[in-house]
Amino acid sequence: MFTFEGIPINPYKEEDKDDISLKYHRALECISTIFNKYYNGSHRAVDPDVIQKLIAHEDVFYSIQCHIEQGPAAIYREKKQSEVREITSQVATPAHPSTKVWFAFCGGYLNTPGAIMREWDNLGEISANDAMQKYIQLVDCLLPGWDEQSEYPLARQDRFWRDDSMCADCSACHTPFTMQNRRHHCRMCFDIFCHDCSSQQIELLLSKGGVPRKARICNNCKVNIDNDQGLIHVRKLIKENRDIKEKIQNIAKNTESQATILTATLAKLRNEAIAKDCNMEKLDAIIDQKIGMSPLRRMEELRTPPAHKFKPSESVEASEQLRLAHRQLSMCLKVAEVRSKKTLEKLNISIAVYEEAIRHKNIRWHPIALYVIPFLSVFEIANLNQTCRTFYTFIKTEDLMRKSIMRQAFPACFRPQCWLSRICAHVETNKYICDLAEALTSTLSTEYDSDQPIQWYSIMPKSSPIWSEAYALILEKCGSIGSLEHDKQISADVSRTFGRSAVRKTKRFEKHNDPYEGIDREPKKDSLINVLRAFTSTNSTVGYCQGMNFLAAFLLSNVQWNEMQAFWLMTSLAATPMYDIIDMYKPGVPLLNLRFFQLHMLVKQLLPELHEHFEAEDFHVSMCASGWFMTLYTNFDTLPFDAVVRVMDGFVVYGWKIIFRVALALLQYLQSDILQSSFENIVDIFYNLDDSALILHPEYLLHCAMKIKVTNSMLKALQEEYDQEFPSNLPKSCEIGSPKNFKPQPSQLVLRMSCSDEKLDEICALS
Amino acid sequence: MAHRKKVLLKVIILGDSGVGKTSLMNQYVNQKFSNQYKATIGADFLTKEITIDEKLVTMQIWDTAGQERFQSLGVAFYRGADACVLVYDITNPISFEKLDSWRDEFLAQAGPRDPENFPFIVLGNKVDQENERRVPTQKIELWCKAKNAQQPMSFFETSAKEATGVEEAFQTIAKIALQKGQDDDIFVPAATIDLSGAATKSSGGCC
Repeated sequence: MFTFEGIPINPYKEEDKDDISLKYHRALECISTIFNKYYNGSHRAVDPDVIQKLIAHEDVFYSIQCHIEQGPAAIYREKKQSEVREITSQVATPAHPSTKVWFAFCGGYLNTPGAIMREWDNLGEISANDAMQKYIQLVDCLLPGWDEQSEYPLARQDRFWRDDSMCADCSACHTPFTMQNRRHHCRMCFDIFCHDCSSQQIELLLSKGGVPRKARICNNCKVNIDNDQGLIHVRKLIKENRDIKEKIQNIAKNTESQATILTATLAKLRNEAIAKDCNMEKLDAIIDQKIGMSPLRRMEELRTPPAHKFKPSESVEASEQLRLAHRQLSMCLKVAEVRSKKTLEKLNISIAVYEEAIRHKNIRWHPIALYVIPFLSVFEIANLNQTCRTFYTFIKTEDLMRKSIMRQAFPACFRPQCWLSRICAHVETNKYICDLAEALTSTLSTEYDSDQPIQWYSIMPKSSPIWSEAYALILEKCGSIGSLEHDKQISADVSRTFGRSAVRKTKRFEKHNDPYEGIDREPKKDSLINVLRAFTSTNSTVGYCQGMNFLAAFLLSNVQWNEMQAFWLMTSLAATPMYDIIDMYKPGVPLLNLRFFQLHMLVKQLLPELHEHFEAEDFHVSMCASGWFMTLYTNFDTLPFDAVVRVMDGFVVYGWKIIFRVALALLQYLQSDILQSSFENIVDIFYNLDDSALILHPEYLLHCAMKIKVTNSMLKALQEEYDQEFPSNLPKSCEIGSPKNFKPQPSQLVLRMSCSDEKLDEICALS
Repeated sequence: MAHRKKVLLKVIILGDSGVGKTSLMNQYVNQKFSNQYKATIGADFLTKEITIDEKLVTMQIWDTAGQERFQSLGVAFYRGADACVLVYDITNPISFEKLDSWRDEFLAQAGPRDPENFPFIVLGNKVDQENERRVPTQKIELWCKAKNAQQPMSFFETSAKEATGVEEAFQTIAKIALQKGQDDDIFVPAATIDLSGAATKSSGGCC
């Protein structure tokens, strides 16, 4: 039984033994009334469906009745036979049994014909109580709702079908019946009326447990029914109660079926977790903690108060009770809904915990991870929010953070989170982003607590409304598609982001060229458009540049296509001077030529043989590397998705030198192939990398890349060389890997979205 | 001057973003079309061997990024180009109007010896979308004549999707470029003689 804050929801107790006896007698009365009417010329006063069902089971009814009244069949038969024996013993000549003997002999069976006797025998020696229950069950089954107050009026059970010959005139107006003035029966009181006095029809029940039928009733009965306002209300309540009951049952049923499936999944996962040697005790403790200690309760069946508790005449009391029941049922419904939700939620949480734990067991932990991980339990990692907090507490030293990212000492789902925290380790970036958000928040509806610093990277695990609202605001300022300068180009490129790369006919590209294969692209395209528009509108000096689309799509795919997160991730990347994204994409792409120069010179220094070959073939690195630099490998022309993810890890940690190292690692790996190729075939080599090529394995690629000595100071020196050689192409700010020299450039990122805002002016003034 | 063993033609495809440069190149070289090409970043090239006037010619076709801000990258790719294909989209008048700037930019960056007679060809792509045409044929005819009255640029209307006119267009540009190259080959030795002559002259003057 449900309990809700200590109050028993259903006040109607289980019926005890006496109640069963009472109920049996009510059932008996109901059944005998119907049979009585049916067999005594009143067959039209009973519901035809009801009587049909009852007649089919007539024997059973009688046999149970006999069993209850006379005891088991065997005893009865014994008794009768002894009576017969007594009589026969009195008869002098057994050869001529008298009529009395015949009567005595047959009488025991005549009253109880063969069929009934058989049923009676079948009952065996069950107790009277069980027999009563059996009777009640049968009636319940045949006549559902017979013991409940129905919403429809019930015909008068104590009245019989009045015989036509008994009345010569209408019972109400006493007009004599003639050929034209026909007799009509009221189906409520079964009296006979003329048409005028019984012109109305209502839906009523002829017998208990029947179906409502539209039938003629006399005006008098109609008035009685209508006048009984309380009864109408009662009926309404009954109907509502029944609906609620049905709803509750449906919920219970659905929950049950869903829970069964989930439980099966859970059991499977649990076994798997045990097989993977997870710490089950700890896992269970986590689940307990998440679920709360209340055990899962099953949905109990709810019952409405039985009809016999009140009579229609006592409509005031009845409606009181029904109203109470209604209130309680409504409460039950709410409880059932909540409980159903919770039950499923709990199962889902358990499943999630197990899945996470299993997934976790599948991750190969690197030595450094093993060093970090003791501080945070595997099971804490399963708990997203909690772990994130723990994660930051322990990986706050930059070195540890770097290593943990480089050696992937975190579950993949934390990747964007780790990137963000690493990016925002740059004081300037954090300040810039927080200023931007703060400027925006004054126009937002969410209360922003200025006493507490904005947890900038809090956007990842648990979205603070500030970030989504700020993003929504930026989007809003962008206006409809087509209103911005770059919209046309963006729309054109978005559909060309997920596509197949050009033109090369290779095995690899048939299969792996499109890492976004299989996803539903249309909604993703919209997300991509939004992110790009928001980004270009906040960075008006840059606008949109081809290549951004690949980067944005890559970031989006890493945050499960969450636009808001991808936007802030990209914005923070762009705001960090170390990454030089802004100069990369500015009109004229000023940084790209520098990058080519740097790569060219690095090849000359580190791979001199290759450099000579390039010179001889008149091949320039820019012919293969523009995609590498402009999209940070995210156009997947050279590297597959998994490898790009790892390269991005490195980029976030170390900046541009990783991009160079990866490029050089690729060139080094392919050196022997390239040396044998002529100009036309060199580019093909990069596209023709076999999928199984060792260099495409993310960890091996990173391993090779980290072995190559390219340092920020080398890049810096090359930059100075470049600046001297091509002074006209001097990009204004490309302080590679030296965030300390960053000078805030508010013009780089447009703050025009809240131009009128005073706060913004302050920020601009500050910077 | 060493004689070229094989004839290599470097052809650059230029035009606004989205006019179908990659598609044209791929249709010509691989006879394939897809709606799903990625946007070209930087540049890419394909090679195709063809026979022109019983001569085996290797065409190296360079596909470039169409966005304006990538124009500054051109130097590396344009160097040594033998011909240039200017592409516009017949359904997009802006892409047609930009042809001027693409041509000028190319001539400025590639710095060919004879800019007036450098072989250009103009392709109006996407004729399969005839009912959306926004650039009439007469307009391009006039434009071609305006650029060079004696020897107007040839133009084709093509469809990379349906392979209309693609083969002819590239054949034509190959022929023109080859013709021009042969002229230059004749011209080059003369220049060499000229130069050496000048050198001896100057040395003589010095003495």
